[in-house]
Amino acid sequence: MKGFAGEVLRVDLTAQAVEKSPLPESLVRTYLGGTGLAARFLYDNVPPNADALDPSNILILAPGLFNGFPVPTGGKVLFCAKSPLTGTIAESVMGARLGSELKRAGYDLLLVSGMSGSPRYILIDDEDVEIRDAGDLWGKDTRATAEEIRRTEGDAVVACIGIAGENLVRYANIDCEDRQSGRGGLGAVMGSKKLKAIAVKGTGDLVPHDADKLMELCLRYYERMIESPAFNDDTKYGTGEFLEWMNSEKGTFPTRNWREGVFDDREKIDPYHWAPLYTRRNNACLACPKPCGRIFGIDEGKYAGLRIDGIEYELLYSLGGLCGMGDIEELARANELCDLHGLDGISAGAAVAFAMDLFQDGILTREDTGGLDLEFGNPEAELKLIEMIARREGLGDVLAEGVKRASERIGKGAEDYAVHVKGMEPPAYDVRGIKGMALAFMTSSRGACHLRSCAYALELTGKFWKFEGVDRFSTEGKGVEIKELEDMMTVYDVLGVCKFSRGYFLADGFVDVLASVTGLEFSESEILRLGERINNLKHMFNLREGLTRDDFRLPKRLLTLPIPEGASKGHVVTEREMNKMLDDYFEARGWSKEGLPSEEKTKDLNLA
Amino acid sequence: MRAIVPHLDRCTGCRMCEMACSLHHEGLVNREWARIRVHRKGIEHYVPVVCNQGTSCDKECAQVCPVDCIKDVNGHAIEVIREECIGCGECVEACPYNAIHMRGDVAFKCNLCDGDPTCIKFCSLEAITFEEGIPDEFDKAKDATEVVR
Repeated sequence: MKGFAGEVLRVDLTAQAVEKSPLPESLVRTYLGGTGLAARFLYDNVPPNADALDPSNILILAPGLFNGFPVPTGGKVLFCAKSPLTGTIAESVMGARLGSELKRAGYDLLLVSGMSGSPRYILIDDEDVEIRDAGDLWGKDTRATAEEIRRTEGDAVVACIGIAGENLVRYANIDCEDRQSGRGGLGAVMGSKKLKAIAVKGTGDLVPHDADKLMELCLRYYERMIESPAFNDDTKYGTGEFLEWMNSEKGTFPTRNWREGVFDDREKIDPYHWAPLYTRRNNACLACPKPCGRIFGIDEGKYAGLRIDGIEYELLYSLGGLCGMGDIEELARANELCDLHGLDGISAGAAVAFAMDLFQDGILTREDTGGLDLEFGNPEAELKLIEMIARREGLGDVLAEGVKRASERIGKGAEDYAVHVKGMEPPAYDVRGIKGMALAFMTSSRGACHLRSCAYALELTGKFWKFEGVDRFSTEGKGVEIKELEDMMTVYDVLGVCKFSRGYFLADGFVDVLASVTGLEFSESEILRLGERINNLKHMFNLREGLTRDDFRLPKRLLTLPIPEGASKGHVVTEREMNKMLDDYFEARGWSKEGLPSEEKTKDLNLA
Repeated sequence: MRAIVPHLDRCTGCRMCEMACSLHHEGLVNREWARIRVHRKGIEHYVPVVCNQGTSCDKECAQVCPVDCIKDVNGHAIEVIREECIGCGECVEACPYNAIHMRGDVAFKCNLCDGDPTCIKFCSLEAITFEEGIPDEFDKAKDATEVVR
């Protein structure tokens, strides 16, 4: 099969065994790659109701189908497993060359099961696959780990965990060359298996079906991207470019643990302020001609020598506004700590903000915090608490469980302060003023998420793709909208294309490139159908693990506390609005009121 | 003579040049077949490495070739005549820039795509440019390559 590597690689860490098998042809047309194959293999290989940190959970590395080819922004790869944070399917996409390297080594998918007795790393060197001792690497940060492995193994692409993953922090991430598979605690799954790293060296050929056509299409979409007006903003200011707009124009920048929707102390964390001062160079994902990633560097003062890839919009929120912290250098240091320890910066910042909120209301006292003055906007306390989370010390051990579990342990009404859906701390969109996005938080298969649907863009600008005139304060039509967007965005994660290309690269382009890479002909509706199939399969996995309609609820704060100031002042999602949107969504999906897919639906999607 | 000139401070590590290069020349994608290669030096920077066509070296590859199959055929680039190459690897050893490669039993290097380099078309932030050779830039790339080799 052209465009594919051809094999599935399985590593069993309990048996210390390696097995290779051909990629089943029956799955190619129905799931293609990326999130499609990952979801299928997760569903079929993880035993029902396995604990996410049990050896029977399976960590899957799934390259996007376009990985390795010069398809503009087609370098996204993902990790997938059952999540220790949410108990649902977790998948997290990153822009690293891990995917193309795995494909060039000969594998369309890597499945890691079992648990080693002592720390190990997996070395994949084309057809040679070894499980090696990682005793000396255990306890090292992500950068040191990768450097050490590259010193021994040469020019390998290394994905690894930091101490947060080792300590089973439920939102530990996986790092690859300063990019992260961030959400859902996949680093803890690695840690539970005593797997410190995966190093890949691939030297094989990736052969497309039609090289000339592929070159023509790559050039066409490349030119479209670099000629777009967004090119300049993306490459100069990165993902945080619209931070000021989110605050002053929309009033939807979650602040101080979602007490507010506008951050008053935002001036210094706005990239228009800091990018000219701190950005050293652009840093692209594999195959991206319009990199929003940039290297941030500090050369003077107490953080002299600091280098991070960022700072991304989401972390300007979680480590900044959400903690009421407006100092950009302190924020950069917090970001660096998260990267080195291997912590998801969104959940980590949200956990700190949650604790600050409890401290402000006296539910947590100095006794609980180990003497920390955990006030909003206190950078020393924030940095210290991030360290404590990664090391699971004191209050950090409680917060390492995520805000949902932490609130249950703390009690005294702390549940009302825990902002999450399905246990996942949300990203930087105050959905009280973006109703469709509120529904997207509710329906995302991995818990509160902006990227399963990317609905924020449509909701905030009113138009995208086939939608027009969308009103962000209305709840009308949102069920169909989110269903359609989710199915579309899933295709991006199948092919490994960046969702920030959605302005130029949609289903019509995808089917053309897919045909030139693989020779497989799909119509636009067929490729969207594939997205729908995968979303239903993920939902069926979640149902099997015990998910019910209650798990789709928004947290109390977003249902009861209206945004106090700014352009979304007075807005909240009411209980009635929440239920109406969810009913509409279930109906659009062909699911019952309780969220169960009908037999017709599963048959129709070849899932029965 | 014009050559592909690397600018270290601008390279983003997207590797579009590598992928487009091997796709153009070989009809497949493989870094091992790419004439231009990007090396990562930690978080600090990336280094695009490609032949300077003799603008900044003494054409050591051509000098050491025992069968004289590395030469300027049509006036704009130094090429390896694949049919004549015996695969001895002397040129790879001799190149001070690490810009000529072997795969199987043939050597290959950048031939500027007959005067219209494909990689240049895919470099959005102009980390490589096609112009009269600038020795300083080549030297910087050379120094950086030493570190990553």
